[in-house]
Amino acid sequence: MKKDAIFIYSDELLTYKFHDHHPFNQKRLELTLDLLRAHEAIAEEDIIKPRIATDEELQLIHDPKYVNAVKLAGLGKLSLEKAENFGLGTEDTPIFKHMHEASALLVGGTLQACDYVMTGQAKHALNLSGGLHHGFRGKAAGFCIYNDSSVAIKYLQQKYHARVLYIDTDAHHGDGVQWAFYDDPDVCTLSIHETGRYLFPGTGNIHERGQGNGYCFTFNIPVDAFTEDDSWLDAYRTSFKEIIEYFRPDVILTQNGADSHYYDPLTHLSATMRIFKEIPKLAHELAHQYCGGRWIAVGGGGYDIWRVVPRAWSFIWLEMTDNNKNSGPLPQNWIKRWQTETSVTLPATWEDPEGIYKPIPRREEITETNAQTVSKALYPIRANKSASP
Amino acid sequence: MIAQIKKQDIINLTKILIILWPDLLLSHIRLPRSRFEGKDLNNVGVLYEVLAIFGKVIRFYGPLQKGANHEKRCHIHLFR
Repeated sequence: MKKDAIFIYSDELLTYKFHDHHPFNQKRLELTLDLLRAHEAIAEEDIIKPRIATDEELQLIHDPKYVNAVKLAGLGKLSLEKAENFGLGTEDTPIFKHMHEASALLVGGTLQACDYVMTGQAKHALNLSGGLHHGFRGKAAGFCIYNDSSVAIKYLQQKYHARVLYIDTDAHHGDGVQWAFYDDPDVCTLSIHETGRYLFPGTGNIHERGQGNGYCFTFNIPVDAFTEDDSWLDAYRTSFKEIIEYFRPDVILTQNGADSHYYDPLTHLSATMRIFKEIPKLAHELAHQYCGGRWIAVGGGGYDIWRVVPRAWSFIWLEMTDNNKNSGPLPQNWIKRWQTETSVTLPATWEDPEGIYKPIPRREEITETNAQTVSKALYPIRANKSASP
Repeated sequence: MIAQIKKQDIINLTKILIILWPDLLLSHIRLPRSRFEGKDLNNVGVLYEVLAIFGKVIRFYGPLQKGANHEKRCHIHLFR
């Protein structure tokens, strides 16, 4: 029987861990799953254990030399000098024991999500351990070693001959995926992120539109720092709807970084829980409208692991399973269980209360700038539409 | 020191940067690749553009780290 959705998880995914003080902390997976269990929103049969991606699968995107370097680094057999050439051993992406196995496992999880959806065993699939969008062909960057989304897109192309629409709502530009398919007209990427003016990786300009045959299949919407819910959602809804109508994909892959929230310590946006409820809602609706429901979702960034990520990522699962119990108080047993482990006060409700931040003085200016950015980014689609008979 | 840098040095360094980071540079400066090829590089107007690249590159260098190290994260809250 076809399931509404499957949830990829095993405790082994928590082994993707740089060190105790690194902001990328996969404990958020455990916190999210536990929140869903406490909310009685997930059954054990919905949870699928990830498999490890093979070298051949990793090499759909990654250079064999890089894969080998990651293996050696994880065994402590790669010199720091050589590691640096592969982006390994840096402050952002330090070396940790068995890093190849941990990274290949989360890639395998995303590939499994693809198989479940494309073979019709599930309409939707969620792998929150994935979404490592800064991984490059031969280089690690920005907390990402292997780029599970890029490998998955290539896999979807080769195994299922699918046209893939990749939607990236992480606060950082989805550079690794963009550059991997920059000249490919069968993959369309949209990244909505905080402008690279002040934020890593610095790319994601509106004018990065693809090249060669892939021209006009890359879209970037860099929003201003301090962007709030309404302006962010306007950019998201407008661009997603126009791009999917233009590209007509077979399947949607969404990257769901949860770092656009005001509380996030690494970024400078001013979004609240409202956007994280709306993001999967529109993806779900459009997946059914254009792709027969085929929707694969992965995680991504998100560095306030207590107050933001568990709620934000639970919304994706609740939406995938048509569960409308997504407002009001959070389960008391979840709060009690985890409050002892953090000095941060855990949220009491699914939504954020009003006024979690001081009013943004430049709200109007930021909203206007973002609206103009959306218009410029979508200009090729709109111009093409108005020119056609 | 700055006065000793010759125009040709800037041009040569720019060519190297374009080879190393073509998409990155060109997407940031929004100029067609052809502007940096051939004899255009001897044009004074283009030289200004080349200098502008360095400004962009220096600006770009700021967010090259995502911020695992808290002390090096970029704080822009003054611009709110």
